[in-house]
Amino acid sequence: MAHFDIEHLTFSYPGSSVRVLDDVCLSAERGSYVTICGKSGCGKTTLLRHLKSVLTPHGERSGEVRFDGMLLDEVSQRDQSAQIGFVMQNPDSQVVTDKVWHELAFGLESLGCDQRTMRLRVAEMASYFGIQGWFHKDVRDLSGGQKQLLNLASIMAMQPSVLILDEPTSQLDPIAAADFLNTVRKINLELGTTVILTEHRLEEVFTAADRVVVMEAGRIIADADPVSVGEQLRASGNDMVAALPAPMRIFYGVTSPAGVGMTREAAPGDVISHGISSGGVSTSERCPLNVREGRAWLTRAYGGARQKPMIQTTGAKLTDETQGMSQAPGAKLNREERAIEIKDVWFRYARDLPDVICDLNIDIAIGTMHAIVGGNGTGKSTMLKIACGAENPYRGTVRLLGKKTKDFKNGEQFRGTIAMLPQDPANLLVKKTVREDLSEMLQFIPGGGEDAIMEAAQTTGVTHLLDEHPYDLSGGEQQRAALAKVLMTHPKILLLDEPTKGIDSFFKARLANVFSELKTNGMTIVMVSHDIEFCASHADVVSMFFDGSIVTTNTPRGFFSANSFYTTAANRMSRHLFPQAITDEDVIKSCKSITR
Amino acid sequence: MRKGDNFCTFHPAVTLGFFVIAIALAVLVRRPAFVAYGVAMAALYYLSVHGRAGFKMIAGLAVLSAVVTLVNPLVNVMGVTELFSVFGRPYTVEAVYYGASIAGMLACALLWFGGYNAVMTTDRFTYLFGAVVPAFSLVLTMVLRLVPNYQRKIKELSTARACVGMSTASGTRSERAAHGTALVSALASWALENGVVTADSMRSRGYGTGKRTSFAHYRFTARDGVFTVAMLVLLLLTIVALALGAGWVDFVPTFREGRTDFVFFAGLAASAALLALPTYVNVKEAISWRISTSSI
Repeated sequence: MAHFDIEHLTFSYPGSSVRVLDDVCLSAERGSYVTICGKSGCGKTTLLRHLKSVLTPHGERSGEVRFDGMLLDEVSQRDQSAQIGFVMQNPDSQVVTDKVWHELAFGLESLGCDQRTMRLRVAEMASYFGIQGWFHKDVRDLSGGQKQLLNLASIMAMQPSVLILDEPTSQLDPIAAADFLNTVRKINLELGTTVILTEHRLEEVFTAADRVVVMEAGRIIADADPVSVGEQLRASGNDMVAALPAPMRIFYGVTSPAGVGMTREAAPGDVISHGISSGGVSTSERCPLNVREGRAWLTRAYGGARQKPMIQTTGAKLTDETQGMSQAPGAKLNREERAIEIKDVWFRYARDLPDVICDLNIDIAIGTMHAIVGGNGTGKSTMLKIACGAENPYRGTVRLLGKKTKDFKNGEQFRGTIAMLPQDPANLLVKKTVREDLSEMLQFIPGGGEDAIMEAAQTTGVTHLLDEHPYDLSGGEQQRAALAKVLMTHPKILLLDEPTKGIDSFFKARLANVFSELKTNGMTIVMVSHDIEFCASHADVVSMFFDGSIVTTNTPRGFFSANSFYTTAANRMSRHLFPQAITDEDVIKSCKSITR
Repeated sequence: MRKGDNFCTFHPAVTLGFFVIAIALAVLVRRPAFVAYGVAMAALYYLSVHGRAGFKMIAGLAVLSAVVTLVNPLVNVMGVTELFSVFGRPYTVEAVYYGASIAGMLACALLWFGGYNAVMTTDRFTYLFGAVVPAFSLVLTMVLRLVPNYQRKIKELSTARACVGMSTASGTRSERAAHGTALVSALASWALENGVVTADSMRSRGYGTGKRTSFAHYRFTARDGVFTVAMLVLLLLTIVALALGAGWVDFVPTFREGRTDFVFFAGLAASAALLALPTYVNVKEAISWRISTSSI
């Protein structure tokens, strides 16, 4: 008997004819690790919410959900609370109380546990999750990653037999996300808890999951082990291939003649034809799921070709690719070539607090896309605030297009010189519809009307969303709606704070298109990001931020190929053969050039 | 927990009980001798908790008390012993006494509240009331969490808006008002959205499925028992003495006090000892620490 059985579940929201779930059949065995993936809006979250009665949305429904063989509706609320653990997306709003210890005990308090059991369970959980150190802390003093770990721990304290996680890492930085997913895997392996998880960051979960389920428009289109799901997606030419882990994408890119996602002949579920032979790669190779397997595969396939002179030319070809730059990064720019000039800047938030920014110097050339990477809490976001004059340094100067930020009065730099897209785009969306939000900006455009709104909406591709409520949009849609609002100030310099946070690969690609279009129109873009892959593919210059200042600045290729930890998965996988390759396409190109 | 305070290691019920008694005595007993001892004990405890920094507060209270004492006769013209007249109104000795008594009460209560704040943190308070009214304590905890959350969000929202030129700090008055309104409405919709998720998270963790218990990491120990007994015995003695008229005082029309016999002194001693208890705990442990560190 399966742990969870979903049979022919069909669901639509009240007053809507769209089937959010369409004849979904899924079963999860006890102790299995099931990952559900799909584009945002494919019905993943709605499906997960059907696995716990109190969270099930209202609407038209048919089909049934069985838990341990019993109809879910017949399992008491109390048993469901204890047995089915549910972790949601936003780390902050899930927290109920103000202290860590109280949060851990909350579920047990609700179930009316006695003092002895409660003490033991809380102690157990705090020790297992390693949170003794912050047991007495206020929840608000924790980082996002710690909060999400606390949410997980406080649910595990009730000893559930199944753990359901709805995009738990979408608000976390990559390091905290990997930590969190490792903990989930540990729970699955060590306690045998069934895990059902939705994710758009597939790098980690693909190696951990027993089964991957792919959803599209409310239907399940693939349901098998990770390798077979990858094959099915590739065979059907589904654009979900773009979301697969880098080693899988590269493998498919090298082995299929037409490239990734270009073949569209086989239907889902078809037997995968093992006939494609390209680049001398044996097609009987199993697709690598992670960097380790990817390295091994590349060595087997191309290690022998290493001595050939061709590889040198490949490498050389990749280095010369730097374009759109009049000068090498780091070279001295004339003042009129600088969009932003930050000189000897020091900053702290309050007199008795430590320096957040120390001795920061950076020049950003006009018309480039400059990415700034670095760990959490190193002061990257603060740097953006200083760059636009929202915060003032206590020492040093900041110039925007040659003019000191201090000389802009009453925030006039925000009227056409510079603008910032905040980390949480919802912070900019305050009205009932996107259109009203954009209209709010018309006050800054003399004589502007509907056409100004349409222009901004078209650039960012949100014309079809104008009459939606901002809170009903997905993360990627909110990001573009907020961007439309920012663009209505017609800035020459655009600052972006973590623009790809919580956004799946399709929306990322669209966002990248928007950015490159803006850049062609002469805009300077400065982006702070944790998303190494995104920076490697789209930035012109990359800087590393550490401990309050910039450590190094280089082209993406120079930057990432010189790093050995802080670099893309593609580079980590192939650096022993193609040291200059930093994106998936680089590696695919290099592989193909060897055998051409 | 403050550095130098050991009173807060007692069970929350004991500490709360003490502060209730101390503040009640400060407010109810007006006889100058009691007030003087009360202020002295409260100040000593305040210093034992806050150390050197406590002197600042005490100096401030001294000024406040002096002002209250001297100003009271200007508004209060009761009393028969006129010193001089101000704007044709009598300035009487009785009114000065009365002002001093009020000032003492005020200073004393403020000092005890200062100690209370350091010792009775919210989790101790909610623990106590969680046992009696679980819903109340949970609501209190949640509200206490929301206030800083809202403050943080307001800051985020206003920075985000300022960076696209919609600052509440510049522009014409009507523009600023419009931006302010947008800010508040944004906060409201965020709060509602957030509230829905929190509610889901609570129900998902079994809230409302049965009787709640509350987690406690406090234990009522023998030490708490001894302290409570001492406190209650001294309180009983004080109450008996007060009931027999030891605390009686009248300021108008003339200043008159109650008995000055053995009962008065016993009552005074008992109340002073009672109020000295937490200071005694702090000082004793500080000394024993010093001895144990010096013997290493």
